[in-house]
Amino acid sequence: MILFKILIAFSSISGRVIDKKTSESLPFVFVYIKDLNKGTLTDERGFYVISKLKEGKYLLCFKIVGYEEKCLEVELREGENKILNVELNQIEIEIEKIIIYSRKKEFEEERASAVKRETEILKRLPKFIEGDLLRTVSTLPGVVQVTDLSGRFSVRGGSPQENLTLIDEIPLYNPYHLGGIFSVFDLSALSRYEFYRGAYGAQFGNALSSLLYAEIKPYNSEKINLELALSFLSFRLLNEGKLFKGNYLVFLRRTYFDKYISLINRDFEFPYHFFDILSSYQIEKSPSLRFKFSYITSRDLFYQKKDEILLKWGNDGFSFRTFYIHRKNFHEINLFFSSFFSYFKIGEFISLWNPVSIAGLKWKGEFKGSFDKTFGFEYENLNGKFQNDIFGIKQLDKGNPHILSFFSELNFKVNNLRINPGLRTNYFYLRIKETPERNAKSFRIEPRINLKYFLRENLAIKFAFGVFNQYLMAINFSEVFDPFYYWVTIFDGYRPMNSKHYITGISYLPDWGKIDFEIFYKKYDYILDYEIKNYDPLNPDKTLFLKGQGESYGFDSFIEKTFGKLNFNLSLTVLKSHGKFEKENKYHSMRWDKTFNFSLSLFYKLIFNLDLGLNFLYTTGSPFTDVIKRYRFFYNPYPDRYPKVIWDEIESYPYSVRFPPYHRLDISLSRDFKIKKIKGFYSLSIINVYNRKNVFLYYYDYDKEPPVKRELYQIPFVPSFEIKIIF
Amino acid sequence: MKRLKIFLLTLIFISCKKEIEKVIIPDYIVWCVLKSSKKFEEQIVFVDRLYSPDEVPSQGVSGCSVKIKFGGKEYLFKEKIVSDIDSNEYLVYYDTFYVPSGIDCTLKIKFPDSRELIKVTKVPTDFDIIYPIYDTIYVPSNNLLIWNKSEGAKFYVIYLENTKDSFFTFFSPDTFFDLFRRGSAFRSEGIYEVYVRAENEDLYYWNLNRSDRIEEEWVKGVFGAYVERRKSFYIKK
Repeated sequence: MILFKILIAFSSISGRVIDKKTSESLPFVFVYIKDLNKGTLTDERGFYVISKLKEGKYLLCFKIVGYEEKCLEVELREGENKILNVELNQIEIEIEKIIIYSRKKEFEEERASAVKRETEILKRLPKFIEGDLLRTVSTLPGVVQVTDLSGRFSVRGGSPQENLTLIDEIPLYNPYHLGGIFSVFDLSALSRYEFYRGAYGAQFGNALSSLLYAEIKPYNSEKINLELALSFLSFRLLNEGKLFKGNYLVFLRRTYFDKYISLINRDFEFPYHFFDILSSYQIEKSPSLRFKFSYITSRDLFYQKKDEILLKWGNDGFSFRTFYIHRKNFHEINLFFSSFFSYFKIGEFISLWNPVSIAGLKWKGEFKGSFDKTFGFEYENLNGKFQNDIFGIKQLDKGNPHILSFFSELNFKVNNLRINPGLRTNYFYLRIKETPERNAKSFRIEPRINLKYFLRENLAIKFAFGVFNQYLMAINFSEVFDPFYYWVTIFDGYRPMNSKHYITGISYLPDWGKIDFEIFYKKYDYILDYEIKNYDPLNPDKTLFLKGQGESYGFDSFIEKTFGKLNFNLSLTVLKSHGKFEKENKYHSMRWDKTFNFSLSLFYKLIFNLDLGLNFLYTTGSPFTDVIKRYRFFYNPYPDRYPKVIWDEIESYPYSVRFPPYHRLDISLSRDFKIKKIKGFYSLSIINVYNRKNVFLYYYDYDKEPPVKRELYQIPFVPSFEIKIIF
Repeated sequence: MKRLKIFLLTLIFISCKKEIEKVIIPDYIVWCVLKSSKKFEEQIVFVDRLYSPDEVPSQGVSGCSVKIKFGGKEYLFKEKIVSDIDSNEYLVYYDTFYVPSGIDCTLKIKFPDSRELIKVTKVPTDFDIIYPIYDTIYVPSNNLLIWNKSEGAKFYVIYLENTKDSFFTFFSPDTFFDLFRRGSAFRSEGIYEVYVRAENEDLYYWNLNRSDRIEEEWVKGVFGAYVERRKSFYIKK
């Protein structure tokens, strides 16, 4: 009762701080009470809370580099929770000083293995045909791209299927176009992204390796903005403006290669095109209540009339988010839906159909105080089907599982140690009426912890640990050729895949940039891999996946310089990733195991407003399974004729040899221009400047005797040009 | 700095350590699939060795003693060179005889190095195509191709041949197949012949993933059997 009375007696002040001109939230604003040793910083949403105040009059001040300091007189009654939203005016100051300040504050809060980036600078780097977020991520430490022909990436030796991708909280499971070269994440429509290459927070789950979280960019100006960009493959249109009392953004992209090819040659129909739509609408009812609706759709279509080959895949999703500040607490309610499908058909001989949808509700409450607390829950209802007919062999897997998760996180500092423990619990339930033997249930606890000890203000050692489970499994027939995965949920006989992350490292934040070094160990207690050779259509449930275990370990590090004329990001990853599956008696390298990975991204301001961008990548060659012997056998369909000779191969132990090292240099020159009222930007990129022949695969041509070993290469020397016009 | 270098070099050394695992490489490959129809058929056995990927192959291993035994009879196979549909020539052991359905057959091969392989396979039992009963069929239609169950058959393979322009293969674990729904398989009107083969377990696993059901490690291959039934009809579109 006494405690209750004490709690009632205290008062608090909370609110949001925004930029007066742009209405954008201001993070890391120092909010303090003059003449009282009490203060706090605003979080990423500009939100602050000062609690445990007694009744009385206070002078509340708001201070941040680059803005006018503002002080307001506040009168608090006993037990009152006052909401005070504040707008700050920008002052002329070097932009670099602001960045240094906000980076320092970000450094204090940053988790282990996290990378946060604004997309603006990325647009100036060489583009792999077009600027793409997933391609950019593959230059980060710990991240290795699968091939040039795929936007998929492996994180710290894990499979690409273990990465969770969210755009405005919409989960995307097949975000790739055209063999994975492009993703649905065009940089023009995004403001920033956060990437966690391990041990991500308890607010997220259902991915064994990493989390990529991107935001569709907010727009706050009264003016209508229209951008049109053309490259030799596609056109892109971005339109932002004010509509009713809110702001909207619409981004459209469509490839037009199919159109202009048929103009050049009327007899030839290019069989492929794709389009994307990303859009958002934001409305601020009051500084303490905001809504954001985001919608995304993408479609890829490949159709070859002659052989009746149809390949179609896409994503549709929306999220409706409510941000609400109530008393001193921040609430976010997210209602989301994501559906992704793939359909592959060759005449009436082969068809594969995989629609999956996720509908969900997530609530997150952040309670500020002497230590920050975050609680929430997430409910997801998955509905998936994998139906195929391959020359008459039919298979149908369907399931409608429910996943209910509760999560909590604490964030507090004891002297120089920032402690961030978290816990996530998941209850998975699958019931299939037709085949009750396939029903599955699972309850999992996922503890997570993140510790950061500050030796100095800009030097910290860190440790993180986390347990992760994954309830969706991917089927892919060819990791290098398939543009998408087929997804199925776990069912009886298989358990959720499971991994544990152990991370330790050191971070240093000099004035010119950042240096980071982390050692990681990732243990896979239970993983599943699809292997077509193992599949038996008469026993599909038991042979669809191979059960296995594995581990990956190593270190990744980066040095980045973010100020001055020269900016660069240099990263080095050394790792080992190996595993063992059913029927194998020894550990072998995993498909993603590339020992050395070095990347350098550089940006330099030249004369005449020209910007030079450069990307260099060097990695150890991918492991592959070699052919050690070949043998003849027969295929005897033709009645009354002798069987046809077919060659098959005896393979080495899985992934026991490697391709030669991979390296590639890309450069770009870009420049802003202004002609009367029209502004713009153009860039010329050259991919694979010295035309390195990076091996994609080896194969034997058995039509020749003796057979000839042939090589297929990845992307050769490719020039690319892009122009963007802003009206 | 020196310590860091040593640490890095040690890590690199550990990381680059190659895992060399021994893969079993057999000396011989044997392929023998017995065909059981309602008549005498030429049965063939192919014996070969394995080759390096860039090695010029021979036509097969000659000088083997190849015998098939069932129902108290033993057939000794002879050698000859044959060529397939693509004019690839190879050496086979052959004999012509009637293989009854539902029996056990034994294959005995004595290789030139005096090693011996003995393998038994069971021929599935008889069956018949019972639908369609018409001589003319309109496609696409929901009519099914239906046949009786063959005991001992693990899987059924359906071949569809139009001598003019097409040859397609389909599979069914059941005793029916939705063949006439698949308009793409019938490109033109005309006479088509369908072959349904009831394959035994040995042949099924070999065709599925070259799964070896021979116990000896020095030989890889298949000794399997199937029962075949045919039916012709006229397709109208």
